[in-house]
Amino acid sequence: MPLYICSGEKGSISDDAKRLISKEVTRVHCEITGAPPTFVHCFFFDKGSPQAETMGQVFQASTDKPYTLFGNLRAGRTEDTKHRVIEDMCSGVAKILGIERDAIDMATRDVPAKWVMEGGDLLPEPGEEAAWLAAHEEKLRSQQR
Amino acid sequence: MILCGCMIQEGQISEAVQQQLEQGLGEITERFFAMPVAVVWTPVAAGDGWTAGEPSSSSLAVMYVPQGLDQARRTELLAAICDLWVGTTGCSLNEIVATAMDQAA
Repeated sequence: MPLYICSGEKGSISDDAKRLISKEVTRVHCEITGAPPTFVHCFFFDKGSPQAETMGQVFQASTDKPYTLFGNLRAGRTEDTKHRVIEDMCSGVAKILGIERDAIDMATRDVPAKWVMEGGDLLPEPGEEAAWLAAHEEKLRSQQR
Repeated sequence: MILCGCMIQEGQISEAVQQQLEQGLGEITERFFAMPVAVVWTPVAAGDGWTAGEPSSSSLAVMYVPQGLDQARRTELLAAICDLWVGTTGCSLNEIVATAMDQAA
């Protein structure tokens, strides 16, 4: 978590663009929120596919833009933070794809951190990542001893 | 019936192992909710799954649980899903993300 679902018409996002977009999504999310890159998942599904509809559901159905981004984020981010994530991510993705910013629609959904387990631990609240990572890495080290 | 959506990287988990996971998830939902599970598998095609900007080996399991589940019980449930995944697939704990999402009202 976060999980970003990126969708476009079948074949409209090249393999190389997917690689670049995944790095851009990770960069923007981490720079704005301070989250570690290892938390950031970016999956691609063709627009209109059962997978995309399952993940984006209402959002996918409510937009007529050719490209969509849907982010499941830990709850607790400010509206300003989420707005910056959306604007910077859409701008970056548009640049990679060589399209206008307006061709991308994006929405986010808040998921409480305590509802998610990653690496065998409940996710930290936003802003508590550094302490969480330190404790998590120490736990892994002690398990390997 | 408890719904569980599982996103897995294509080719990473065989159908036989998926069946074992499905059985294990069913045992978990029976233990926690006295209800069977309905698993929806969503394979992520090669080249379409990325974690930290690198090709992903992560599985994401999202279980839709009755609203108001106590946090201690929710944590036990999440740990059970992660343990099942590690024990059945041989993946590391860092390769399974489990979510216990409240069912929509």
